[in-house]
Amino acid sequence: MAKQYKCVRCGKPAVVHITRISGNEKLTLHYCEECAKKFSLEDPNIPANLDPEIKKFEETMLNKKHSTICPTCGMLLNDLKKGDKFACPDCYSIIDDSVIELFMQMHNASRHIGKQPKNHEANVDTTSIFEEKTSVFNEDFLSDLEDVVSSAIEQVSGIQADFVFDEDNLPSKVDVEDSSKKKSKKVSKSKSAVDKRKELEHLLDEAVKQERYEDAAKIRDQLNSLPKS
Amino acid sequence: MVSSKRVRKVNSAIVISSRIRLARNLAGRRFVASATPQQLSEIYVVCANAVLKTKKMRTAKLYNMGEITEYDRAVLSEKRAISKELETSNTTKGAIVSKNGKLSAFINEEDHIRIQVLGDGLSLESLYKTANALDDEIENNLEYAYSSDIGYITSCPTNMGTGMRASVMMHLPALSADYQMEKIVRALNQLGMVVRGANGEGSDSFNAYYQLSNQQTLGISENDIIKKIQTFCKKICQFEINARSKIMEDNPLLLVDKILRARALLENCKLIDTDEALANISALRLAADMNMIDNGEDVIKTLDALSQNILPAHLQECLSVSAESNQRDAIRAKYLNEEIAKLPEIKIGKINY
Repeated sequence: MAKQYKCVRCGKPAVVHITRISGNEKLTLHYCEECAKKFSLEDPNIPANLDPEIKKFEETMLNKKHSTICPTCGMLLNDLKKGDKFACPDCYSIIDDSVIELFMQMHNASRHIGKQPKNHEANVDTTSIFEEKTSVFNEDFLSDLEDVVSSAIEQVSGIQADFVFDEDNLPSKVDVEDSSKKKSKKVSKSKSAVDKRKELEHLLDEAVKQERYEDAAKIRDQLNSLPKS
Repeated sequence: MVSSKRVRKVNSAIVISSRIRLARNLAGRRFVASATPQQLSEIYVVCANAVLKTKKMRTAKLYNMGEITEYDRAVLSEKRAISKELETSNTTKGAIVSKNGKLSAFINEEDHIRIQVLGDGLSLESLYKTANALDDEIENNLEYAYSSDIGYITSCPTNMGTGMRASVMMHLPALSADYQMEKIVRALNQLGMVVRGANGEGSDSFNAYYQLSNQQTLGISENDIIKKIQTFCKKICQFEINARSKIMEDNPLLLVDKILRARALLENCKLIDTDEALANISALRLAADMNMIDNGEDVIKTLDALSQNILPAHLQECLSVSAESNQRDAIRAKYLNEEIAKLPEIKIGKINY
């Protein structure tokens, strides 16, 4: 069976596959019908790089691919599932979501708790694993995610969508609640904290199952930011 | 609950020994598996110097795997002072082993440095203190690869985070005779722990000796790993004790038969290999732990020592003979005949059957 690719922009099933070759570099990107239409990619006669936005996007993806060469040992790491092995400690600094996936499988956790060296600072920079990737996944993507999370919470718990994302990380575009709801939010906050945690945990499971690691990372961060019960 | 007087309370006899291992790597250096021989030699020197400079290891001995004999390596391995992976003649691999053999630092095994502490009975807490102190001392002399997000960086992601493996060796003859081990192994796997045969990774569980260790190293602190292993270790001990009383109630003849046969075999055999010897020693150990032999605790100590002395390299060392394997089986049998004859008689008279 042919592999079902997901759209690199929105995660929907991809129908348009574009392979770019420049020099020795080959990069294949997959798009869903909607995104393909948006950037006039469905017509093979129109070169995709006419659209400045898609060109920029592809450049970003290409740079991302380049960045999986370890700066310390020169090891090229693309796909842990295919058996790429870490060659030095700094290799961990260049891989992103797939490492979280790997850790979740092995340890059911992705963050260290416990001893730290007494005499020196952390020397392996793993921020790329955990940082927000707003450069590639734009506002549309994030607001979609917000919609999905809000509606899921509404559906399951029956309470109104009083779930608010961290404002620093997300656009305030989907602010559908009116001000009266916001007032009631504070009252119901402590009551629904447990529900929220449960919902988020459920969503996290779903996201991991469906291999949507970007989503999973964000939901995890939201989980971490909830007050501990 | 426990009804038979012969069944002792939870004590150190079921838990034979404990072990703590910490995996560490140098910052900015390639992992052992991907480094060149030249790089490995450099790493070897840096690590060996850092470990030998510590107070704890000042009197310890550095064994270079390429410079010592195959026989020396086998003796160290049977004592568990080095790991099976280190049993190669590679000059870039080594181990620094304390005088009593309980504290070791492996160099260029799977990770650049692995600290190992061994102890008797259930002693994980005190072993961790020792390992932690040595780890701190080594860290004064070099820089470990560490990330504030994912902890100590190890070559295999399964050790990431604390890099710590806490394990206990347990003697579980009643549970294995009752075919309960498979269930326990499965349940523990789901709880983030592993049960393996006594010789560690890859070995089949034989002779009723099992090793329980943590699988999770990330997202859990060192103290919580130890607590978790201790809790489940105690639970398994209780299961074992219950299984022993169940056998005593349901089928004492079967148990007594097994024990008496084991003694007769060890006292009279003329050729015996390691596995058969260990399996029969295991049966006598059970008898001693169920008060069927006088001075049970001393007998257990003797049997545990025998279990090590009959291993191929130890046999050679103890008896100062070098032998081919077929001769070795004869020597082992003779040695066991003599040692087992010295043990007190088995008291079956008090058992109602």
